[in-house]
Amino acid sequence: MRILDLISPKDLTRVAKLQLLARQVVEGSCSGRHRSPHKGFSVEFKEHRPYVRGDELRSIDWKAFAKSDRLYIREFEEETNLRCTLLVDRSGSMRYGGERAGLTKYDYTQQLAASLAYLILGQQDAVGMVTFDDQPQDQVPAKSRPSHLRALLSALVVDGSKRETDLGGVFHTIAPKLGRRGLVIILSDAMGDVASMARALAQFRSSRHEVLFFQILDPDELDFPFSGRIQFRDLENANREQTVDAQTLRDAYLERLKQHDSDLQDVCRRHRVDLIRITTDRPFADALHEYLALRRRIA
Amino acid sequence: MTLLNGILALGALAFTVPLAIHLLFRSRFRTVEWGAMHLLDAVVRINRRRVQLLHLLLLLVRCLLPVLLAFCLARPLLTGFESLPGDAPQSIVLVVDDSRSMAVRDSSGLSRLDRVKQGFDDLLAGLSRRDEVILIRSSQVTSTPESGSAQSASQSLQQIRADFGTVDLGRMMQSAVEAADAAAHSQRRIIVASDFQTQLVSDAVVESLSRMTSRIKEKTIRPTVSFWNLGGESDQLQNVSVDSVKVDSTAVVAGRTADYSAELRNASDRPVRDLRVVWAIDEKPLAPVLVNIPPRSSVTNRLSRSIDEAGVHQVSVAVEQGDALVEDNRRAIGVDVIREVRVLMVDGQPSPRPLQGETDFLAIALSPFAFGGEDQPDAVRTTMVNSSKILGVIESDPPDVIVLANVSELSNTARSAVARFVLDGGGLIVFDGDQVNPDVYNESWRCDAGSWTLPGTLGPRVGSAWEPESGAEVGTYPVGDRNSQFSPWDVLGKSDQRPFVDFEVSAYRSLGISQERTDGDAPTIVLLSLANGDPLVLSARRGQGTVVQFSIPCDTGWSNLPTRLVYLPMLQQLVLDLAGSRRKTTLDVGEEIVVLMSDLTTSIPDDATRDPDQKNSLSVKYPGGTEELLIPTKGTLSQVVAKTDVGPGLYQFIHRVPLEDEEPLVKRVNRVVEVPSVESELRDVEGTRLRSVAASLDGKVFEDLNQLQQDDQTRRYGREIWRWLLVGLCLALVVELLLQQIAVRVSTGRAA
Repeated sequence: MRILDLISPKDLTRVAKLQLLARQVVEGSCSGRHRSPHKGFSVEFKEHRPYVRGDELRSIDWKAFAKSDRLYIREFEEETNLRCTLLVDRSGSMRYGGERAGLTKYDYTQQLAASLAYLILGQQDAVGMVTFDDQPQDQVPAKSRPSHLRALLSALVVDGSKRETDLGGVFHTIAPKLGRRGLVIILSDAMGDVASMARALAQFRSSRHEVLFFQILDPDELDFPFSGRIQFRDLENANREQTVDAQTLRDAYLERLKQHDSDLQDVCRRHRVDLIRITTDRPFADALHEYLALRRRIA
Repeated sequence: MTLLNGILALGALAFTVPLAIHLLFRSRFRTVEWGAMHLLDAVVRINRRRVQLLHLLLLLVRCLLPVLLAFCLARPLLTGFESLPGDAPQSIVLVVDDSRSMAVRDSSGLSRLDRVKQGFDDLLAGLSRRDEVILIRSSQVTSTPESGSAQSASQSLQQIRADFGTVDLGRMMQSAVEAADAAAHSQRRIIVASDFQTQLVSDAVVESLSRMTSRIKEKTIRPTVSFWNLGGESDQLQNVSVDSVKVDSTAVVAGRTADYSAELRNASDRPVRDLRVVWAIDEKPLAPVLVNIPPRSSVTNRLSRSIDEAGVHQVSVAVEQGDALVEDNRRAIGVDVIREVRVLMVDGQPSPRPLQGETDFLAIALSPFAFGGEDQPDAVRTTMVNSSKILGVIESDPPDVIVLANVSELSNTARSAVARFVLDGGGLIVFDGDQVNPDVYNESWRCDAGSWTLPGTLGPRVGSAWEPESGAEVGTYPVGDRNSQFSPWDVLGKSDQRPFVDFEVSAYRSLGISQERTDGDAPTIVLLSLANGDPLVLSARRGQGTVVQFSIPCDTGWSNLPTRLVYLPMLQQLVLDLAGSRRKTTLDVGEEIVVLMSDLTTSIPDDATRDPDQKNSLSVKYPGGTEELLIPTKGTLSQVVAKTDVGPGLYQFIHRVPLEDEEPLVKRVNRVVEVPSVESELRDVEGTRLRSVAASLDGKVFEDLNQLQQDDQTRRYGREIWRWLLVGLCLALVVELLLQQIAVRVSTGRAA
């Protein structure tokens, strides 16, 4: 499995140029392009502070002592590595792909996740991955080696399951295993109980993770373009189906979708989670570019 | 229900198209593997029942559309009302109200009767040759109705004029139902065309109709009844009418002035100013007078005029006013002018000395001008005889009135002659007195034509005779009130003027009024009584004549009446009333005119000779100039009878006696026929009352003949309902659109 199997060279080029800037300083074990909240040895001076007992002597700015006859400690900003974990939904609902998009939501998610992994590794940051349906499936720990991309892609190319989604339960399971604070990127269609999801996101936030939620939807799910009598079969449960006059239910469905989105946005806003809706008919690189541009402005 | 275009009803099968589409739609569907079932499930769960219901309704409406369209094109007829096949021959009884109120014209100048003629003409034109039409005029409900084809009925219809009086609805319906019973076809209709004035539907009529209804309902074949009401807002019409013309004088004597009065009524809300009123005698108009009539009021216009020639004369009053009913702007009466009143006074106690005879005071009272030596003619010519000569005078010169004054008794032949005289229409006045034998008077007065008794049974005398010479005091009996119903004595003054205040009676005959009367005797009327209640003057009709009986004499023996002022007008009026014409010279249209042959006979002059080769001719000249020969039958030799169905006007009976070498001797007797004035009182019967009456006959009231025709069409052929189906189709289309919209939009609301 190569990255080019998932991403076109053109997209890969664009992705490589992107700069992913974390909104918050992420704690890392190696220097990188991300500001760290920890003061330490570094080349970039931050500030002086009065010496207190217990400070290392080597941190004392002797020149300042010579000038002022007072002991000051020199503090530097330390650049840390980003520790990013991709949570990839591969439940049954992600296998839907309309004619307009030409690919399923999971296909799209694979490409987006691969792009992100490639991008993050290119910044010498660590990236890990957890795929899940109603349970966590493949888990790839976060590493910053370029060769780690293969392991990530191998986890991604596993076909999506036909099982139901339980985002809240899965996140609840995953959250304790993520360890240090870092960046959590969720790639899912968010088709599930929003209240349960809210609890899980709260858990991420309580662990001081930065959370990005890519809600990946097919255009059909947004405008429900069906007409006539349609039998909708559930991708997550083969025994569940609804035969309805699609045109009759269209408005009701859109209202319900709007309500769902509204609830989801409320939850994300409340927990300071960046929610990005992406439809599969859009180039994922465009959507990623827009997101990063937004993050750059905020930073 | 039948279908005019039955084949098109097969189009209703097109309802299977939407049904098939629906079923096909249900069985054929596209399968979509769907991810967002989480959202769809909630939507379907909430909207499933409503959507199913809406879809079911949609299916029904869509199936209904082709059905409605097909039936609409098939033109269905509801034939639930049909009693027989629609093309079965029918018998129609047309009852036309030809009373005068039907002559009321609307603003276009078309009378109600004209509308009836036009409407029925159209109706008759639409009938088939097999249909039978029976035409009944309200003025001829007693006659056998004309039955024939529509064409003949149409011709008869055009001859009808609104010149007759009211015939109540009960009689009309009675005649119509009888005609319907005798109709040829089993499908029978009765159509009554009238303006339905109040007098047409009185309480008694309603009662009689309710009885008729029960009889109609028992019939196997019941006619359908329809009322065509041509009235409406009659009380709003502008109309001036001559309601009545009366002779105020007790008797009209040739050459003497008589008083006439006419009541003119303005039924409009506007005053009538300077209305020209023209009196006419025998069609010769007098000088017009101008009168004003306030709105909704009546005025009386009077005329004093003498007519020199005896006989029945036509006195008419006309007003010149253009209004809704011009026919009632003229009214006429027949006035019987008598030459003079011949009074035969039989004196039971004659005396050569002035005012000592029994009838002296009476003679003066009846012929005051002759007594005073004046040139003015007296209305009364008196002849005084004793009881022995009465028979000869009656036979030679029959009087108008016979007075028996204190006559003790009459011979049998004389009694018989008097009895016959009264039965033939003469007037008899009987005065009491000391010579009167009560037993003789109480006996029946018999003749070969019948018998009668006096109005009161003579009893004993009460009180003492008036003898002023003796100077003895006698008790007197005050006089009480006169009978206010006896109009001839109205000239004496009203009761509160006490005309008899100085009239005292010292003695009188006790008169008993028997409750048991001989067959044919009319009841006794008390004209004047004493204050104690005992009768003083009695009157009763006997045969064609009248007998007046006094309980006192006509001289001053028992009372001071002859010396009182009231005596002269009292006796004059009484005699004039008795001598006045008993003939009915003015009749209501529709009544039969009966003229005695004795009135038509005439004596041949001495210098003329009757032509033995020719027969006498008797004819009647109707209004309009048509003359018809009358042939007296054996049973009607004493009288001739003529119908007045020609209408109001002057009916002239002409008796011609052929003479040798001369023009025939002609005797004419006139009668005037008029329409009752109630026809001028234009008041519509209440709509609810009329509908109630119609409903009691299982009938309906229609304001328009087209509605009536439509109702008949519905009853006979059924009711076309394609218009309703078309409306239903349009509604169904709208409902379908609405349901379709609702099916989509309601789910939105539910989901929200």
